[in-house]
Amino acid sequence: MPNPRRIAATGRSSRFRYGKFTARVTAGALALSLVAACNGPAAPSAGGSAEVPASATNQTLTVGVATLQQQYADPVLANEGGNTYPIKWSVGEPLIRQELDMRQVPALATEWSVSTDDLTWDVKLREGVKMHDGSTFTAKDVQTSINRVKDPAFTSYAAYVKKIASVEIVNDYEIKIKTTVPYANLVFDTPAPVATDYYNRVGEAEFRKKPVAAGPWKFDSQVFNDSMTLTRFDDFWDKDRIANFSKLVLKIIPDESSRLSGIQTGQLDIAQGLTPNSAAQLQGSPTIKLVTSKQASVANVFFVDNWFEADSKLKDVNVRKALMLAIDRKAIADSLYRGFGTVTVNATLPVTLGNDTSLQAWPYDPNQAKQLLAAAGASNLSFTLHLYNQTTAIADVQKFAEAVIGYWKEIGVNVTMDAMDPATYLDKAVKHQLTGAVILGTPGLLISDPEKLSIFYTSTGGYSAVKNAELDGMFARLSSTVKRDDQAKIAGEISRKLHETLYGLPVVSLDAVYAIGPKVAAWNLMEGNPYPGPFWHLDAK
Amino acid sequence: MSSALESAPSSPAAGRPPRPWLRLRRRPGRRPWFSGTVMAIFAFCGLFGSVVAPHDPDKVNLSQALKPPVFAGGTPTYLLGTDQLGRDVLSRLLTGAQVSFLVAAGAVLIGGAIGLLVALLAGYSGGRLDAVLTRVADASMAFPVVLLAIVIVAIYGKGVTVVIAVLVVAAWPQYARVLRSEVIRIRTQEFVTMSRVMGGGRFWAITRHVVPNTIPTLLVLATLQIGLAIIAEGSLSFLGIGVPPPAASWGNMLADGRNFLATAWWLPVVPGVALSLTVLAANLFGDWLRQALDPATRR
Amino acid sequence: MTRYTLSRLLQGLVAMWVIVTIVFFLARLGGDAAALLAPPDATPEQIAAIRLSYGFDQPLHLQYVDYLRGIVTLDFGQSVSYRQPVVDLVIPAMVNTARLALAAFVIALVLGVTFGAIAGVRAGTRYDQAVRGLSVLGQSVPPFWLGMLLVLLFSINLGWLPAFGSEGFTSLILPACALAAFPLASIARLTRSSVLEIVARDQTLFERSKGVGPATLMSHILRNASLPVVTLAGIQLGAMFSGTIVVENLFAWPGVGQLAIQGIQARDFALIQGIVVVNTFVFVALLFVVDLSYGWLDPRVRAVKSAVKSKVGANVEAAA
Repeated sequence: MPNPRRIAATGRSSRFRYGKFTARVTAGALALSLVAACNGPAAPSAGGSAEVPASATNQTLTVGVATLQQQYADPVLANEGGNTYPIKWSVGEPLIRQELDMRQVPALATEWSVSTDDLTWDVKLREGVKMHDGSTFTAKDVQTSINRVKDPAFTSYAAYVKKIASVEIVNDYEIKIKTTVPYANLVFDTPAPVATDYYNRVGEAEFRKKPVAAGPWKFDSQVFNDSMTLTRFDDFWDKDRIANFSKLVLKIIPDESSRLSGIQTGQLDIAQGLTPNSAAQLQGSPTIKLVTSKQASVANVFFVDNWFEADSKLKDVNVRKALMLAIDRKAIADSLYRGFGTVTVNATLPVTLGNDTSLQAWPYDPNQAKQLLAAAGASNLSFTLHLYNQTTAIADVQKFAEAVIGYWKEIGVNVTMDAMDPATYLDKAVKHQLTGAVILGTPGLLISDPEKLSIFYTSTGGYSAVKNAELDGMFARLSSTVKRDDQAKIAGEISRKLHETLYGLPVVSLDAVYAIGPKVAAWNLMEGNPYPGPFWHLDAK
Repeated sequence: MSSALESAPSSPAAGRPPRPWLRLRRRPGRRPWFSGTVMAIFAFCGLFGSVVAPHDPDKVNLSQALKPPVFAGGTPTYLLGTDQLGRDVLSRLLTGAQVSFLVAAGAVLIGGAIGLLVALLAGYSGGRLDAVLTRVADASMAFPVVLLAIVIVAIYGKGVTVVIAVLVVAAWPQYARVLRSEVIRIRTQEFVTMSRVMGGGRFWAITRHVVPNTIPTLLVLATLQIGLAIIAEGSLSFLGIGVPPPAASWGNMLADGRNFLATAWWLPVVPGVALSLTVLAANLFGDWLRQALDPATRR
Repeated sequence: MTRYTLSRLLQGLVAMWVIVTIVFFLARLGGDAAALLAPPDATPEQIAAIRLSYGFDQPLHLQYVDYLRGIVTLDFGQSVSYRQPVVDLVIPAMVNTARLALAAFVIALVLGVTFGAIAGVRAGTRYDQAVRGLSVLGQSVPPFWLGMLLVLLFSINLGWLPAFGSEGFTSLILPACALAAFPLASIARLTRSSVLEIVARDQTLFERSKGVGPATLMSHILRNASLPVVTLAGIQLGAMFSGTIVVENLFAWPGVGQLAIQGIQARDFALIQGIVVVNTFVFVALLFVVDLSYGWLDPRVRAVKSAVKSKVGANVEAAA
């Protein structure tokens, strides 16, 4: 597993072949540790095979993705949700990045520290890093990127910008960032640096079309709603993450059956976003393998009635418990998701900081569920279950909803299904115009940071399903805490609280399933990530 | 004019024109056995599908998921097999027929009624109103229907009513354009002119002469539109903007089943065959009607 | 003729204005774009800032005036979701859709007219029966279903053609065929019945008796039968431009349909409007060209245009 020191060491290595060799060694070790975690039921490993050539025969790999959302080429704009991350992670290189196991590790920053009042961050930057246009990376590039996102068009940085007081360049390789409030994730959240001279020369509009940053892949060209082409950046500072092939094509194919035919005909080398049932068709194929990112997201049912003062039976914790006990989650995981699902214990995942591993999963017990309902006077309960029809975080979300509704029907609960398009759904969810229950996927990538659970569980959160003073207090303490250990302790409290209150039912956690074709030698996936990429440890044959 | 007067009947009532659909009875030749039977079955399932369905079409039973049809090694409990949630395909097909039938009937009846009304207004009034209505119909035809469907669904959500509304918007101008020329043709025919001359009112002329004479054309158009409506419902469902689940419709079943072509072929094939067969029957029936009713193209 | 052309042009423009206006207000009925652009943890102030930066805070009538002015100057504004000028997105997508639609159209027209004409001349033969049967079948299969079957056969089982994509000629074949089936069937049927009608006319008998060669005879027949076929073809081509959406989705074709789905899901008003305006323009322009081509194809039409058109219309609609 590459630790920070190791990355720094390989970063200084000047000979490419040597770097490539160490890359294989570290990737091999990484793969060994991930093999157990990353394999689906019938999934042979794609990672860490010994046959990775230093330079591949196949110099182009094509990845079929369901969506890249708005297809931003610019790694800073590409921060609008997980479907844009493939670009963020490929073209951009941040100050701190997440390793494949979700640990935060140094990237363009080498060291950072915060002042005693928790408001001023001092960040030391890596020397000798090249940007895509050949210029040398300095503190100016960090400052340019921060100034850029002050434009409200960078909506995903609105919260970040609000907390920034000032940015001061100490020297070429040191920068001081002052915040208005304590901000534990400041360095991690800072946008990927961009090439300052190039940016000033071409201007904002042109930069968005042809960005220059410091990531392992250079943006080459794109056709909207068709594809995006990236080329390998040979001067990338971290030789571990340089691929052995030169061209990566991200091909957008919205229809799942077409991605499936693409991998079967060899038009695609990797197919993303396969439902377990499609993946099952490929099992037994001599040339196509399946790889999975285990427990990439949780499929949740949130009870949004808890947000209102309204007199709803769903505000009774025993009713929510009954609804949880009524669902045969094992059958959903095994039959509907064909083993690519796991019965979840809690709203937090193993990758979540402070996840309490001593908690027990709620069992499947329809009889007790009926008794609980009767005792709560809710025997003829009925409500609406809302969902939106495309979400990368829950495969086959509609069938999932139908299955859950089917189980509730067994205990006499009558639920209407309301499937909407994403815009309508998100708009109404954020404005709290929905009642009853909603289905939302929480990607491991998001909730590996327990603070992000506040989006769902605090009264001010965007998708909040609850107004609970106790939870509000816990999350407030969490966000003002900067030390990792203290954060873990509070996160543990939150995790236990969520388990007992069941404001949301974490029904099952789901693996992200990829099919890979014969031209791919190795690909190590990020744990807990339902979105395509990162393409750091992808190699061709 | 005088020669027309000579042969004219003495009262408007007696001036009733030869009713064209009577030709159906008179015309021997091949009867539409196949298409008629399929259409009858479709109508029956459309009306009573959920009554004759052997199972609850929405009953989830994951332990019985993806069972093949009885003729492919399945059990007689599920004659046409089960889907990935263990629901009975036959029951869903039968209840799905109700949705398809409702959509087709709604689109055809409402679209036809609006089209006929506009055609009468335009064809009878002439002048400026005619020009305006014709332009509106043209403009509606220029409107990208699927785009419209996506916009409407995005705003109002999914529903059978939305599907019908979209199909009506797409269909009415087609009725209006054809029927308008029919109305103009009929109202200038001698027996209609005669009935006016004989003192019959305009309303009389419209209800007694013009409307009945447009019916053959309307029938032909409507039959052909049934097929289009069923296909359109399927296309909308394919894009995920059709009839909302968990309700079964043929389009829904087809869209849901499309990833199972290799593993559970009956999921896409059963609704696909039902859909194509019904559309085929509707088209053949429409053809037969047209030939039977319209001597000009009967060859 | 000029007066006729001008009045048709004016009518086309009015039709466009109506549609453009409907779309403007329809698009604004659902969803707050600013709220959608904002991240889930955004504060009301942030949403307000976004609203301001995209001009969503202006009164509706001012937005409308801006919008109309933009259309006239071919400036559809900035796409909020792609953060690019709308024109840069819509034009390439339209070119792709046009490639697909035209390819399908050529297939449908050439094969439809050929099969239909031969079937018409040889009415009652086996060949005629086969064409009639296949054309009824062609109108009964949904295009997406046909597309899936074509992919299964030609891409997965035989491996002859790519399953999707937009590069090169080969990737055009399957989507164009899936799209062409329906109009091909309609055109074949209409051509057949028109040819039948012409053949039955005395003029044809007369020419045949004069000993005119079969090629010349066929060209006479076709020219006379072309009027309803041209009308139908025009309508079908227009319908294809908006009907490609399902096929585009299945074959991952980067056309207008895909762009529209994206735009609507993001409540990207400017983008939706741009698409509809361009789409409508294409349709209205096609109808216009079809109208004008009547005169070219058949000089008699000029005199009795409206009468013939309505009759032609009746046949065409029934066939469509």
